[in-house]
Amino acid sequence: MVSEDLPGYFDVYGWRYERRESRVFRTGFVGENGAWDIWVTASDVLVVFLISPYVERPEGIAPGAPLLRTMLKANHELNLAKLGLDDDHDVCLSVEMPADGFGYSQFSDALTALAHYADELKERLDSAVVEDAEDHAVRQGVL
Amino acid sequence: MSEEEETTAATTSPAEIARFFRRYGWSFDSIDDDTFRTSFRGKNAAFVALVRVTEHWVVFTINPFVKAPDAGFGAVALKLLAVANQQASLVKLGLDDDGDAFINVELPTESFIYEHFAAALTALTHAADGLLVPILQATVVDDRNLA
Repeated sequence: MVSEDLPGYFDVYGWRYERRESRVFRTGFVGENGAWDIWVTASDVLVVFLISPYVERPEGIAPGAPLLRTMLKANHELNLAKLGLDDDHDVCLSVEMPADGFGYSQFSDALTALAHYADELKERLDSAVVEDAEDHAVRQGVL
Repeated sequence: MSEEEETTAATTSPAEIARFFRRYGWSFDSIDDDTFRTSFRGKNAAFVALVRVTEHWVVFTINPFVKAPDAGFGAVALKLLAVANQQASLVKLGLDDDGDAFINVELPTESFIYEHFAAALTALTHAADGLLVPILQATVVDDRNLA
């Protein structure tokens, strides 16, 4: 079972973690552009590495076309990772791997990709959030 | 994890991907040394998928999945694509350089096994078939909102 192997993988990777449930782990890192929690969940089918929420949005402003377009275009550049909207319409960044054949190599690829892209995409997405807020203000007649 | 284990992990090859296609029971063409083309018919449409083996990744792609409208995708379609990324396992949806919507699955070539191949093709076909109509509907709604 992958969840039983994950503590050893964290140790080899050199990151501290907290086991929140039998199959749910929390870790985190500080990059150049922010600090993030990463949730790692191992089911029988998938191992999911997730940062959610990844980008803070102003309260009451739903993701608009500028942010959505930026996210979806970024998805064309990313290897392994993807940006999406969760049920609360928060932007999340994730990597999903099949549980079948999952080993340290996949674990390392997933964490490395997630940490790299979290740091790299932050400024671009923050700018899109600002653009969203400006669009919203224009529609509300504020600007 | 021993150093030996880390350095001896096998990587897949185009020849192995061809064997996986045969085992999966799907026909395919080789487009070049590293790229295969296959196709399937879903409930609502037929799709062409490419499978490409690079140094680090095996990439399964349907592109274009949905061609962009002349004015580009609107907010309703964009939101649907963004939400689908979190709801559909293994697959990624996005916009390519032409603004067209694509679907893909990327997995590392290292330790790539038949179960990964089958999971990737299954996820790709399921998502393509399930999302096509909602996205086309969303583009119609976006058109109406612009009118």
